[in-house]
Amino acid sequence: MARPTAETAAQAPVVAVERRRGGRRWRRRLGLSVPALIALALLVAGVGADWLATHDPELLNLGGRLQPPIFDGGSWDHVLGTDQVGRDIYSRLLHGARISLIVVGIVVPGAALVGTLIGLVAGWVGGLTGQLLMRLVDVQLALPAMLFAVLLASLVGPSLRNVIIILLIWTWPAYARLVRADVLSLKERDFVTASRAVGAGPAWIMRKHLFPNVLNSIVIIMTLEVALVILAEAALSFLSVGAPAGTPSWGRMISEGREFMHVAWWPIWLPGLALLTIALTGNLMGDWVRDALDPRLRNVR
Amino acid sequence: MQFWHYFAIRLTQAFFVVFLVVTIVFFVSRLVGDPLATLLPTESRRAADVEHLKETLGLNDPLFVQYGNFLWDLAQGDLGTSFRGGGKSAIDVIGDRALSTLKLGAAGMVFAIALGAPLGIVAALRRGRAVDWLARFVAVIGQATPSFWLGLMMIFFFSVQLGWFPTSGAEGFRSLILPAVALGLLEMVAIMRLTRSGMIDVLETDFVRTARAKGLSERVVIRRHALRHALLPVVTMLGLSLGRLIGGSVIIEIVFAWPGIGRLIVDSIVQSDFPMVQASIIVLAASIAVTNLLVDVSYRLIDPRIRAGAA
Repeated sequence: MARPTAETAAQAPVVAVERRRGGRRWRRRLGLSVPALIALALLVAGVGADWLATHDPELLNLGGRLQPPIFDGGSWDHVLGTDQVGRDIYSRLLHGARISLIVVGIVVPGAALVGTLIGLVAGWVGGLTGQLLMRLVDVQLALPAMLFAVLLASLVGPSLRNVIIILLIWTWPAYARLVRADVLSLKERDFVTASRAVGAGPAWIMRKHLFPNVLNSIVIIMTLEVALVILAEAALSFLSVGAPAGTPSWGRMISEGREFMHVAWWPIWLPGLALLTIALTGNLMGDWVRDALDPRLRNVR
Repeated sequence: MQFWHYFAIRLTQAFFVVFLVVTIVFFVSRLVGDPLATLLPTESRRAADVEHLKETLGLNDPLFVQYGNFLWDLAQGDLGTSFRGGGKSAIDVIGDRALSTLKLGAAGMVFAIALGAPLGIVAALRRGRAVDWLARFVAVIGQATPSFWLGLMMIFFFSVQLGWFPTSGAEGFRSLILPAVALGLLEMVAIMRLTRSGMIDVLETDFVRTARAKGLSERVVIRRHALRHALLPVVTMLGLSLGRLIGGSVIIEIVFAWPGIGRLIVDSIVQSDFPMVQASIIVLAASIAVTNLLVDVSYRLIDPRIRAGAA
């Protein structure tokens, strides 16, 4: 989102929302329930990976390499086939879902917290402090996160912890920008002025007046960021700077199956499709939440 | 006069951002890693070698002295010397690679604009019809597709199966197409959505209604009145797009074995060529900062209503 538009959009008067006609209500419900079901499936897969998996996801079986999935002539023993070293793909996908969930579960709330705090302070205090904080946001924009990830991984080795740190650094500025823009317009409003006039301190105003008013925006970005974070984790794992070798991360599976692409389609198709489905689900839910809470932010991403 | 004042402020900010990037890269790499460990494996280490290396790399100096020397060299355009390749200066190696990345980024951008803008316009004009549905479908799927996976799929279908394009490398125009599409897809979707929503909004404004009421042909209304207005936010976004394209090219360069700066960085890491990594990251960050600066400034020139404020 470009800076000038972000500011003008945030300061624009709330536009009357075009009311949806009754005939579209079913589509709206369908639009939420399908993604919600998929999201639920992901949650079940990730949490219950240990019980749902049929094999140890890291167990090698060199005798049974590249067995096709059941619908392509395979056997029920390996429902979705095996990869280039004979590991069960179904079980790996389930454990991959767990990795995605862990990363999302830490990164999204963490980045929201950091970004919101910085955005609140930068917007309210302004001046030199605000300027400095916003330059930090610019640094993040100028230093491609992928490069920073590669740099960090080259120095301390690939690990899930590093992925989480990198994704936190990658994603907090989105919240900071939006919250700051909101705060800049909110602090000129009468109810804030009134609160100051009766002697409220900055902490009180931030907590009681500013935070509740930016909460919608934060929730919207959080939902939209879920897909982004999952895809980013996969990209880092694909570059071998994410989860360490052998880990059943979806990005890892794709990069490891890559050399056998011309012999077997399933080792890279299945995790790829899993990624696509989950990212799609995240985006659709994000759009739904945004439409429900604040249609002004249609172009936020 | 006001413009130059604004320009000076933005220039200072851009400079400051690059300075921060340089500082972060320097300290993160010095504090987190040990260049000696990567250069000399512990088992074959000799004390004399270690001393010699420390001396030549200036690692015996205190960290802040090293930082000062580093900045001083940088100010003179010296980005350090590659550990490999007979001590070539890093900037010489980077030159070609950066050009390669720029080419890929520009191709991705051309693809994104050439497909995104017309598709957005048509979708808005035929709102709710088949084209609009198709465009929105492409957008939703495109946004959710991992670019590296798309790249692999395209190599599989168009290069391996059909043999239309080379599988990798940078030989001629045909080798540019697949990586450009994989890289530009996300930006294409973004441009498409922004054009579509801008166009839909502008078609409902009073000045478009007036233009129609005075009997102008639909063609003139769209071209002369609606389009100019609708494309303004798209222009603003292009700068950020370029930055994202350069950043995103790292992974695409790996998938397609494209000899750009992103691959240079990853290769240098594998070879523990630290000065090279550092220099490449600084060059990339600086070019993105300059792009953002140029976009902000040109936007102010295009549309004087925009007061970029204190952002």
